[in-house]
Amino acid sequence: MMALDAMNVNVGDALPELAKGPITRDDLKRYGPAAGDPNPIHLDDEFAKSAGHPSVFAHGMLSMGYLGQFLVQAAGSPMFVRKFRARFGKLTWPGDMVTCRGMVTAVRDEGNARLVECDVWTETQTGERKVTGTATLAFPRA
Amino acid sequence: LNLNFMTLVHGEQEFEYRRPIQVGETLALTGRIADIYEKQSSGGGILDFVVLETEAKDDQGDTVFFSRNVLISRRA
Repeated sequence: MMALDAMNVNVGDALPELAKGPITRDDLKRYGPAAGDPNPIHLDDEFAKSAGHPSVFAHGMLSMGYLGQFLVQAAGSPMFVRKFRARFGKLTWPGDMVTCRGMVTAVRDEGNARLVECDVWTETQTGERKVTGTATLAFPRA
Repeated sequence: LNLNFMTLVHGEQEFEYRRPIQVGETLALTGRIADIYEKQSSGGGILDFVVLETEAKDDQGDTVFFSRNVLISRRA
């Protein structure tokens, strides 16, 4: 997947998408401890039901991790991801396919950097946006 | 922080990376409760918000990265 060409990027350009999933309960069992998140609402269906949910659901940070991978892919290097913000608006469930998408919203030069602002989000197979956010990529200016 | 997992959700997360971290360097992290506030939920209940900020500084005192975490808890 090609990274953005920082010197030829325009507002409205799409970032190269990244497809993940389907999310499995096993993914959640591995992600929770790896992330240091002990919340049983992601691991234990009975606990999730007692909290009023139909089943366990994915950690918001798992989706944000996918978005992080997606941003590194778009930037071409982890060094160019300057700022990254996400809002966990809707829940992602086991079985969901997760696609990371984004669009350039602003381009400006600051010192030796070309700053590319983006809207980013995950969406599932129904097209519903789940995790939404913004990011700033900072490319060295050629 | 003695959080109740039954009612807690991670609402928002933000990271700012000022520069790459080098092998062998020492960073000092400071965490603080940046804000606490409440909002009415669309269902009529009350939601409590807690904003946690973490800042990592290097030996020169320069900020290397910054993190902001918004936790939301449904009030029983």
